[in-house]
Amino acid sequence: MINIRNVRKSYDGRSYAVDNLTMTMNEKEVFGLVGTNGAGKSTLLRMMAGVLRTDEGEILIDSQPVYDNPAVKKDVFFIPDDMYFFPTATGGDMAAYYAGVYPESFSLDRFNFLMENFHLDRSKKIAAYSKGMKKQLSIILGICSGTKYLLCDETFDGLDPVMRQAAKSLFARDMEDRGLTPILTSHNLRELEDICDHVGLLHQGGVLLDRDLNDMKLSVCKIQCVFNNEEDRKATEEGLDILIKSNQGRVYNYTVNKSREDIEEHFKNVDTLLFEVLPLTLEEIFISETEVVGYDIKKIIEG
Amino acid sequence: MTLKRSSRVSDTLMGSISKNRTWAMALLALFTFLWFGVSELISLNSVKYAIMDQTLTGRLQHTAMTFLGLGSYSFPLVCGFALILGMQGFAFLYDSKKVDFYFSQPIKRRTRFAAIYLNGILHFAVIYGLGMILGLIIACAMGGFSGVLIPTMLLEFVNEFVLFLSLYSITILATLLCGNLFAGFCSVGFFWLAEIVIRVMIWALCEVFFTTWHDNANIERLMTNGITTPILNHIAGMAEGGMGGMASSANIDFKAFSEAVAAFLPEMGKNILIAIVFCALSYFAFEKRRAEYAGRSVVYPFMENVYKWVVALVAGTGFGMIVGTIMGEMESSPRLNITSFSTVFAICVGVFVVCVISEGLFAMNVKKVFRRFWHMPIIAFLCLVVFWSFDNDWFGYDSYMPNASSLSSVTMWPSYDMTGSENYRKYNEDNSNSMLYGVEGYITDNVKAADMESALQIALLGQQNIRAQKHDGAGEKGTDMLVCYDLKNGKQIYRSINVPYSVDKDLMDAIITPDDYAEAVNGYSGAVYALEKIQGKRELYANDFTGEDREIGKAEDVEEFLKYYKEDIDEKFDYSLAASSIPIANVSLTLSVDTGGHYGDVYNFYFPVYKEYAGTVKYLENKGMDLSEENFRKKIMAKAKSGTISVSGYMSVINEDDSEPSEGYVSMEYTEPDKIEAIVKNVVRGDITTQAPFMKPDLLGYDGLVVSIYIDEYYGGSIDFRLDESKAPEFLMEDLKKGYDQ
Repeated sequence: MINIRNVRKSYDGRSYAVDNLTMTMNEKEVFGLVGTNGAGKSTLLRMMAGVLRTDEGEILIDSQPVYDNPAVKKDVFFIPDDMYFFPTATGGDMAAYYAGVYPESFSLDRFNFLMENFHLDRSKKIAAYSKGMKKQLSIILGICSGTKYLLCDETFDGLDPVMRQAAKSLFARDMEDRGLTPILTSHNLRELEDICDHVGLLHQGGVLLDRDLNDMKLSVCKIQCVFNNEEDRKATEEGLDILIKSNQGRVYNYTVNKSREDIEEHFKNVDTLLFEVLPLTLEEIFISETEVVGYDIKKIIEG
Repeated sequence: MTLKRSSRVSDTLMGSISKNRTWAMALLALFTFLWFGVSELISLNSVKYAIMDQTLTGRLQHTAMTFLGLGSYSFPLVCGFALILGMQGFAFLYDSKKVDFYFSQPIKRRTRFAAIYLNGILHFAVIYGLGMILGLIIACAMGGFSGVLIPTMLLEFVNEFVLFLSLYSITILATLLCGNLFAGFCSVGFFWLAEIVIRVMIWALCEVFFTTWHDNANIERLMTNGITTPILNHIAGMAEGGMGGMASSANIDFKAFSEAVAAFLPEMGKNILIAIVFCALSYFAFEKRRAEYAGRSVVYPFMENVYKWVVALVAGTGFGMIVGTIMGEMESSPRLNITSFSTVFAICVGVFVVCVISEGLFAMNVKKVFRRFWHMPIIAFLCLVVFWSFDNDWFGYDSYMPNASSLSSVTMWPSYDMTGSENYRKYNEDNSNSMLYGVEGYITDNVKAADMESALQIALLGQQNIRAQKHDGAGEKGTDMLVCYDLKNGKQIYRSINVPYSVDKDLMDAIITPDDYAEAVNGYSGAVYALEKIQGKRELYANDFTGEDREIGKAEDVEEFLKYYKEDIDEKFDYSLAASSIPIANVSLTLSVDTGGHYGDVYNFYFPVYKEYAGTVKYLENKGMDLSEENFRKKIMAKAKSGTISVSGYMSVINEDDSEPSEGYVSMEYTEPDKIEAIVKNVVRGDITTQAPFMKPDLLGYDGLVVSIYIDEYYGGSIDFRLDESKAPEFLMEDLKKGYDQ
């Protein structure tokens, strides 16, 4: 389990990239970190990988601090957005290197197997690989390292759909086989929606939401309705935890922080011409939650 | 971490670091091969072709020693190793991709630091060691092997290793304090050179401002004991016991080897200390360094100020001093005028340029060049404070006079070159590799003033006079002298003084007439010392200043000559004689050491002979020399009339509008016998001051005209005499004036 407690991190001493963040990531779950640009996702991941030191607070992996602690870091593999490979190295060279760095867990056999399946030449210089191939290689290296935690920063971006699916399958298998805990960041929320068990929504260094994905989907719903009169509408809106409200003529759309059951209960005695409760996608949840805190498309466009 | 895992990780780490160093090592291996392989081979080969006599073996051994011996000239190669390995090893910190890659791995920071640090050392040791072995093989194959070559080579390896270690540690610290490659290079340059530049700056300031500054004695102190510059210590070791000691001797033996080792050890010790301190600081900087610093110029803000302030202070002070000195000279001012606009302006320009460039570099943004603009006036003011402190002698350097109670002895001697080029003992080596005294060295070490009170009185007089001359343009004409105060605490303090000619004769005699002083200052003691130490060819020559060097004796005559000379100087040499008489002859003793014809082979000692030295004069007359004044005139007149003479000098001419007199160099030639006779009859001997201690240059008409008599037999050139303007014939002065007007 990864425990992040009141973590703060500043690069310039004036503003915080991660600000008083507290979060828990359970084992054997896929944790998705989503957030606005500059929300602190990569910073958080780098701190979790032990690259960056926290200014305040602590990050505990399996109850031990991660920074400069090889005993913990041997269970963590970090795949950054743009992974570094030795300048003249081949895939095989990098595998040999990681086999030395993770001597207890790295599997060269699996590496060879996966390289073949992904149609990557292990004796070809990495410098000659395409961007997508490098991403594939980094995922293969991460998987083969055999670590308990795999930190992936925008890792699926740049992969073609087939490879994305293949990578997700690999994660799923390793979760089942050896209890891998992948922690992913991505801007492609549809991608995360497919794979994540738990999602943390970051904004301006803090957490907006940190929930199980299913709970999140169920707890935020979209309502489309047409009221008979204005009095009914006003009365109904009271007590409805509205995140976003919009209307086109008499058709009102609400995004509310309630479960389908609660909403239906709330509307039970309201006479409406049209009433429909729709589930939200992760992307819609993201937009609605961030809009509440001022990250509004309209504001961005219209100022 | 299990032992097995730890060992596997360490192997991987070392392997990856080595792989990353491939290009650097290839480059360094190439340079090592070029030095120890190609250069040594070429040098030994050229010696073989050039030397055909019995000294060949010795020369080959010496040449091999210049490549492999203690204090060899290989240290620039070591500097290259330290720079490249130090920077390359930690340059990954400048790239955030690499930082993520390395620091996310389960390897402790201290393990990584140790691995990179040791890897660099290992690479140096292997490549440099192999290079030396290659050099040894070549030396053996070419006949340059000597008994001490292997031990001295091993010690040289240790010596260069220590230099590498200290420079390498400094380079690593400098690299760790920055966040990109360009800033890293600048930082390394700062750490390597700042101390040297500051020391040179202090030296220059002392030269400019301190009238009692004694360069030769102090420069050695100022340019040794490096703190961030181990090269200074290394060079000091080389100067004391390195190449000088080992390479110029005829027989390289274990005594020489042990002496060189003794000379090197203190300097090596200093560098070991530097290596330890900087290694610890580097480790601390690596441990504390944050991953997010990659890409910044300077990672710790306080270091920005260190870099900027030090460089700006040096630049402002230096630029101000250069411009101030030039303007001071243009204004014929003996001192730097710090209140002058030009000096202050130059300081401001120097500070401005450095501050602007620094801020631009720190922020990597040209728009930020005026950031912290308020630093500039403060730094410029500090530059002025530096100037004031020197100009007003805040440290009391120029006014220094020790308490008699704190002194163990005082030594003083005339500062001009007393025995030709062999003045300083560090340039003299004999065939047993021990240092050979020059006169100055002999006096400093052996001849203490018998009357310390008189010495202090003269020193004070000399100090006041030299300061008056240079500060106020006043003061009297006098003799430039050096004084060395030996303090009871073991320190030696050197000062330049100028003792006025009007000094009390008895006061001076109290210092210079004791036999040991007279013998030392006239070159006798140095010669005796050299004769004891040097086995070689001995020749005596005499010169009566008419352009002829006459051989007056061989080895067997030397002792007899010195006996007469000693008696004369013991009896006759005093201040009246030395200051007011022109020697009538000069005897030189030449000692030649058969080492194959390179530096340090020939030692010359000069003995000025006054007409009062009856015994010596008689000895020379017995050897066929006529030292009478009549003979001198007759000889130079004959020479002059057989050819041409030229008269040259500076002419002062009052301008037509009665403004300041202008001055210019003019030269006239004469062939007419009557004019030559008129000119030559009043000339005095020239070019004597370097061989006659305490002689007033005025006696030679030093500021007057130089009369050159062209004589074919004197190196096919001319011999110079001096002619006082007041004794010059009228036609000569008119001709010179006309020559100037034209």
